[in-house]
Amino acid sequence: MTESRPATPTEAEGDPVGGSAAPPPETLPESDAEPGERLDRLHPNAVILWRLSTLLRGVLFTAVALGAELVLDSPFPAGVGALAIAAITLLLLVLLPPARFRAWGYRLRESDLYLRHGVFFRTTTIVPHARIQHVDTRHGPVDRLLGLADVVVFTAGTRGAVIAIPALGAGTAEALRDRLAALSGAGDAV
Amino acid sequence: MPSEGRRLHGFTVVSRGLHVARQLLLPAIVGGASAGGAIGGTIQWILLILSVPSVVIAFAQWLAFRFRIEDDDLIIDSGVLARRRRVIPLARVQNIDLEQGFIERLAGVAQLRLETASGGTDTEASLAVLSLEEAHGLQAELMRRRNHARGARGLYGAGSPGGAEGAASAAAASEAETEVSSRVLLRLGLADLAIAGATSNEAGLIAAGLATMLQVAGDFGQWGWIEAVTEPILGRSAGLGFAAAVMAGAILAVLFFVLGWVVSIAATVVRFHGFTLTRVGDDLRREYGLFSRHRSTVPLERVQAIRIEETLLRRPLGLTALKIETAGAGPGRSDQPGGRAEAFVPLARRRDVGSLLAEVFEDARFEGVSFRPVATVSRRRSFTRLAIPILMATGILTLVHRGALGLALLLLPAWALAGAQYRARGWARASGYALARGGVLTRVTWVVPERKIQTLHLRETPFQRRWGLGTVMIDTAATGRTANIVDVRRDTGLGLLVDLAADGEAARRAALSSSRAARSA
Repeated sequence: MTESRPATPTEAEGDPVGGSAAPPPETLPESDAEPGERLDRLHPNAVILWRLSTLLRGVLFTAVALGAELVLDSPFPAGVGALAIAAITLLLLVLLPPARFRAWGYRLRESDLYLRHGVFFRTTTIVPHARIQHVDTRHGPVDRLLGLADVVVFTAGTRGAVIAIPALGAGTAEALRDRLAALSGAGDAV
Repeated sequence: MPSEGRRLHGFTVVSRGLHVARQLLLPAIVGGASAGGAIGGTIQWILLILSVPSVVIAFAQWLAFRFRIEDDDLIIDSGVLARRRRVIPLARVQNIDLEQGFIERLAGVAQLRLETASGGTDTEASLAVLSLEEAHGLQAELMRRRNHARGARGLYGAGSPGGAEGAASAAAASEAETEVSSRVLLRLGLADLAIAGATSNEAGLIAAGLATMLQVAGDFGQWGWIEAVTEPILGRSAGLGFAAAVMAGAILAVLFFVLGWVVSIAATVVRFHGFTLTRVGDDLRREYGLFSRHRSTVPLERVQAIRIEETLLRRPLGLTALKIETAGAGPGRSDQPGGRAEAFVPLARRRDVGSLLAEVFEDARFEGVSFRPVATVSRRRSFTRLAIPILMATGILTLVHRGALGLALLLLPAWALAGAQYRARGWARASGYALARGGVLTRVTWVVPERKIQTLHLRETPFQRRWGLGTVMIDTAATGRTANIVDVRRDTGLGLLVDLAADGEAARRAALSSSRAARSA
C-alpha cells in the first residue's frame, strides 16, 4: 500500500469557504485524497451541530459582554462590544462549520484507521487496528436529535490515547465501532 | 468481605501523620504566627483540631489496609467506610519501584510502587510503607511471579497458546529464572555526577529561579541578609550613576549564575549519589540517591523508546544523558516532574551510548546510519521566527534612539542559529528502529522501536502548510512526549506515516511470534 501515493500531492490551499454547504459526496475529490484511497466524510448534519454549539457559545458571550457593558462604564456607546461579539459569532457560524466539515475525513483501512482533520492546523493520524484498546460511541441529547454519534478510539499511546471521530450518522458510528472492536488487538501487550 | 493478608508496617501511621503535619500543622504555625493576635490563634486552633481526625483516619486506614499475593494477582483491600478491593494481575505490571524518603530511610522502611500501563496518572498500587527487608523480599517475589505469570499466560500474544503449550512455557520461564545473570552496566562516581550537574542546562534555570525567589523574599523584607549583601554594591553605585548600576547588575547576575551552578551540581550529586545501572536477567535495575534512596526496575521488553539528550555544554565534552521511556504512570509524581522517564542515566560518554543502546535494544544495528535532513525550507522558517521579534524590537527602539538600529545586526547570529536548527533536525530508519533528532540547546535523539509504535500523526500548522511541510509525530505508550520530526515535506511525511504503520505492525507480529517460539522451545 505504500507504493500507491498520489503523484502530485496538490494541496487544497486557500480552500474557498462558501456559506452554502453543498450536499457532500460520499467521498472526497481525488485531488484531496490521501495515499491511494478516498476518505469518508462525516454526516452532513455535523454542520448543523457545530453551528448550534457556536450559536450557544456566541449567545452566552454576547450576554456576558452586554451585562459587563451595562455594569461597567464603557467609553463606547452601550452595546458596541456585544454587537462585535455577535458579529464575530455570526461570521464563525457561517464560515467555520462547513470548512471543518470539508477538512474532516476518515477511512477504515485493511490494517489501520486513517483520519485527517483541522481547518487551520491539519492533522493526519494513523491508528493501527492492533493498537486499539477499546472503542466507544457516545452521543449527547443534541446529537441524538440530529441522528449523530461520535466514535471514540482508545489506545495506550500518549498523544493519540483518545481519538474521536465526531458527528457520524448513528448507524454508521455503531457499525464502525463494531468493526473496530472486532479488528482491535484484544489483550495485546504494551 | 473477609480481610486477610498482610498489613503494612506500623510506621505507615507515623508517615501519614507526618504528611498531615506538613500539610496542616506547618501552615497552622507559620500562618497563625504571621497573622498574629487573636485571629492567628484561632487559625492555629482550627487547623490543629482539623488535623486530629486525619491522624485517627490514618490509623483506621492502616488497620483496614491488607494485601496478599494470590496465584498471579496482587490483591489489596482498603478503605475504612467504603471498602475497596483491587486486583492487579501481576502479568500486567510494568514497573516495580522501591523508594525511600529521607525519614523513611532513618526508620528503615520503604515504599513499593507497582505500575501497570493503564493511562491514569496515579500509581496503581502503592505499598507505603513496608520494612526495608520486607520491601526487598516482596519486590523480588513480585518480579518472580510476574515473569512466571507471563510465561503461563503467553501474554505477548492476543491468542494465548494452548493449555499444554502454556504449561510448557511456564516451566521454561521458571527454569530460566533460576539462572538470572546480573551485570553492572554503568556506575557513576562523584566526579561524574559533578560533571553532569555542571553541564546541565538547568543550571541557568536554577540561577534565574534563585534570583526571582530572593527578590520576592527581599520584597517581603524577611531576609535582611540579602539587602546586606546587595546594599554595598547597589548603595555605592547609586552615587556613581548609570554605568555603575549596570556594573552592579552584571556582578549580581554573575553571582546568581555561579550560585545556581553550584546548587545544580550539589543537587545532582545528592540526587544521583551512588548511581548504579544493572542488568538483571531481562530487567534493567537502577539505584541511586543520597538521602532519598530510589531503586526501580524496568523490564526490557517494556521500554518504549530511548531519548539521548546532549546539552550545549555536554556536546563538546562528548557527554550525553539517556532517558528511557517506559509505559507506566504519568506525571503528577512530586519527585519526578518529567514523568517516569526522568534522566534514567544522568551521564554517559558518547562512545558508551552504543553499548548501552545495544543492551536495551538487542537487535538494533546503528553502525553507519546516516540521518536524512528535513526540508531545506526549514532553515528559512526558523530564521523568520527569530527575525520577526528582532525586527519589531529594532523598529520600536529605533523610534526612541537611533543607535538601536544596530540591533538589526542580531539577524546574523539568528541566521546562524536557524542553520544550526536545520542541521540538528533529521530522521532515519534502521533495523526496525525509527530515529528522530532535533534541538540546538539540547540536542535530542529519539530511538523508537517500530514495534512499539501506537499511533502516528502528521501535523501541519498554517505556516508549515504554506511550504508544504509538516511535523511527523511518532507516538508510543511512553508517558510524556512523542518523538517529533519537524518540517519534513508533506508527501515525505505521509509516506513515512504509512510505512511506519505497516512496518511497525509487521515488526510487532514478528516480535510476538518469536517470543512465543522462544517460550515453547
